[in-house]
Amino acid sequence: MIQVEQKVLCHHCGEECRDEHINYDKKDFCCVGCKSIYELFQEDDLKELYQSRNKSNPHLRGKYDFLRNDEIKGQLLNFQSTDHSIIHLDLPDIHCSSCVYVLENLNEFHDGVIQTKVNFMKRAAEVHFDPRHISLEELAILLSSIGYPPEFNAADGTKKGKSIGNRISLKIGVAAFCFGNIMLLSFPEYLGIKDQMSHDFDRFFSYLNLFLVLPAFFFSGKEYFISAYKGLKRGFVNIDVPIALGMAILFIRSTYEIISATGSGYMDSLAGLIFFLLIGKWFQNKTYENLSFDRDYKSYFPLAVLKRDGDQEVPVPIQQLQEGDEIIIRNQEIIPADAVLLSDSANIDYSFVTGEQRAVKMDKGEHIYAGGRQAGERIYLKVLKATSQSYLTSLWNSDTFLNKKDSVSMIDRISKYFTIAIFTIAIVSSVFWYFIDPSQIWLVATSVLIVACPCALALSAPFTHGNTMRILGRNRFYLKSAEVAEKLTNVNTIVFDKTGTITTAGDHRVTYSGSPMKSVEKSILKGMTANSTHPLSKRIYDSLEDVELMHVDEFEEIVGKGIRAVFGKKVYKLGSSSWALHDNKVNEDSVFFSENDQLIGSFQVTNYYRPGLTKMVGDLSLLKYDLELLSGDNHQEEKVLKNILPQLRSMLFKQKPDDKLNYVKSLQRQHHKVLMLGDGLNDAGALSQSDVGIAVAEDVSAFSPACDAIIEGASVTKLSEFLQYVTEAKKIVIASFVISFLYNVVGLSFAVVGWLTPVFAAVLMPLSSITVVAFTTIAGNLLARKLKL
Amino acid sequence: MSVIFVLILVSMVVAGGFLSLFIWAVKSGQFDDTMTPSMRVLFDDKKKKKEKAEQQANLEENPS
Repeated sequence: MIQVEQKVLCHHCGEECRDEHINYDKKDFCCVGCKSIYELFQEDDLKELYQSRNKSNPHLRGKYDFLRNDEIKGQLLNFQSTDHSIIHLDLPDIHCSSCVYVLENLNEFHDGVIQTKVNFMKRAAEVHFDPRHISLEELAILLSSIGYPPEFNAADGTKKGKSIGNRISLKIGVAAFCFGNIMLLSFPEYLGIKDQMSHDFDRFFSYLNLFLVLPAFFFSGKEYFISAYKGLKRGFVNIDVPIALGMAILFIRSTYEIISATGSGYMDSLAGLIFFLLIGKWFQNKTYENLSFDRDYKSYFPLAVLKRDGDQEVPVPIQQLQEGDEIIIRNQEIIPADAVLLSDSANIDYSFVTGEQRAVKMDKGEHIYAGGRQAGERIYLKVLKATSQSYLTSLWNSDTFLNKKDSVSMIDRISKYFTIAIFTIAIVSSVFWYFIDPSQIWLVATSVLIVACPCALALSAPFTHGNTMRILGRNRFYLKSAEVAEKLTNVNTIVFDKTGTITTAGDHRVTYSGSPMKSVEKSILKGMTANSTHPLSKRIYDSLEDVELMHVDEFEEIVGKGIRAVFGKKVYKLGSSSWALHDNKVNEDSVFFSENDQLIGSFQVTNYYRPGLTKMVGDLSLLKYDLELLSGDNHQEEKVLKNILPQLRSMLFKQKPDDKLNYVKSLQRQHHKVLMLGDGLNDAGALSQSDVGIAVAEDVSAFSPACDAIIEGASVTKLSEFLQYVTEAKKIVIASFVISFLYNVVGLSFAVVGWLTPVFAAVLMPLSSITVVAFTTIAGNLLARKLKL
Repeated sequence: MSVIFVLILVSMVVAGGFLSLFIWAVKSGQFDDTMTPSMRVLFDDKKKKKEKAEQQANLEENPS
């Protein structure tokens, strides 16, 4: 069957309708917000809309029970008083500007809401409300009823610090202010008209410079001193050590010159240095605010669960679950702890954990792992272990997650030798000058330390990596930090997960074999599958796109078997062969369709491999990467995989989460540098253990496990280009190192012979920084163009 | 020439004023979210219209 991609544009906002496509009033909408707006324009009265909607959503009752619990409420609310509360809510369904409109007019829906402020990029909103008129639970129901169910998970209430971006922009602002003004005040000196000025002016400008440099030095530059101090305390010379040293010497010598009136100092160089360094830091600190790289298991689990307490059902925070507690899981809820089933049967979907969408039938007394999702009626469970000790979460608590890999970057490795070299040069030239003219020692030694300050060196890596992050981000490959770009260059082994990584998670290829179906049979089939929640029937339903839907009688879905329906006088069955045909053959991979127990045909649902996969794997093996595959699935597709991906060194199937983790560990013990690509929670351990873990996501703002980078599904096949890019980018860093060393050699030779004047320093230091920045940026962009990124 | 002292000091005060405005803008969170306000700006009109309409309605009710 061929999948035809069709672009549908939203009736309201004109954006392309992607994952959730809503058809309303015979028009297409990309999200609930657009549909709501459309309705609003029809009715032009927000209250009416809400009232009509609220009535139609009885299923929301009970869903947010846990928000009545005061302890949970206290954790969630940012501010609480008798008539005013503030809460930050994650609303993942925010999609376009219409959503902002609807949400910011929430006070029109309900009088209890005072004000809403949406942050579009973070898909979050700050809601001010009056708890006397609307409780938190009602607020959540209100939001769900208009299509924005707020998301609460166990990680809530333990996060939210002030963003780092602001602090750095403040520092840059201050440094830029000081730098600019000092430059202006130093202009007479640059132009050489100093001699014509009166001595008073000279002194006045110098003192003003001294005054202006103070905020730049003590406010903007302080973190370099802190970082250098921390590094030295750990017995480690990082790049900030020579920088801090150069800055300190610059400051002391300039202050001395100004106060003793022996010169005008190097305040312009100092302020410029701090300014450029901070710009580099800011460039490198590009953050993807809407992405989250640090999710742990807490983000996956619900905030609270219903506990049976005598005759009552009370919501309790999952942290308080203890062994022996009886809990109730409703339809589509996630099981928060390893437990034993007390109800007669359950239908557990572990897709959340394994990435494989296949519901498993469980019987009374069976052991159910945390992370499964119940599909069907409510079930009762008895908790075996606290959430923090369940099978999945224990993976997180293993050492992998506690001591995060601490790698030394290339620049920090160099800086040790660099610092030693500077000191050697300073001492040697001091000794040299001692014999010629001892009065010059102080001048020369400080000049060496000033001019050697590795500003350009410190800028080359941040700018190259920052540029790399931007270019990769443009191609929907988002790195957590600039260090990841460097780590990527060291990788030599690539491990792929199967489901969701090299296959698309949503798309499947449905093939039919058997006698050709009549159109009425197709319509019946569509009618049967339309009402089913089983993932396989959903896919069959999706494959019957152009078929008219037929209403069927006596629809019945039997868990673990299939669907039964009556049409006319015939009984149709869809499901396993033993059920649909009454034979004993076991065939897990096919779905059988029968009429009065006579076979009509069978469906095979197979994975849909990403286009371009074969080429990418070929390219990667040409680049001498070891390629491996770990799959949680069975062997079913081994042959297909061997066929399309012959370069894979090994393929392992039926891998449990800890198998994957241990496999990566064993590779690392053989000194492989492992890059792992995976999607689900089942890969989380392995992703974190590997040197670079990349989470694959169809929608990058959706859930993804803790990782070093997030890649959008469709970009996975560009991996070989990405790796080529980072490898080449490393060469750019090295080339820019060479450039900055050359500048240093020039500067040092002037310093050693005692010719370093303030003007010379003021020109040389920014010039070297600008050259390096321009070089890395231009080279990086040219490279991207060459690789077509 | 000594007027330059005054001028420079005045210019410093002006520049310092801008710096403090910048610091205030950062601290008050104006750079926290640069995306949403660009969307929000499109919505304000309707609200104002509504308020105006209400005001007018009030005027009509109480002509005094």
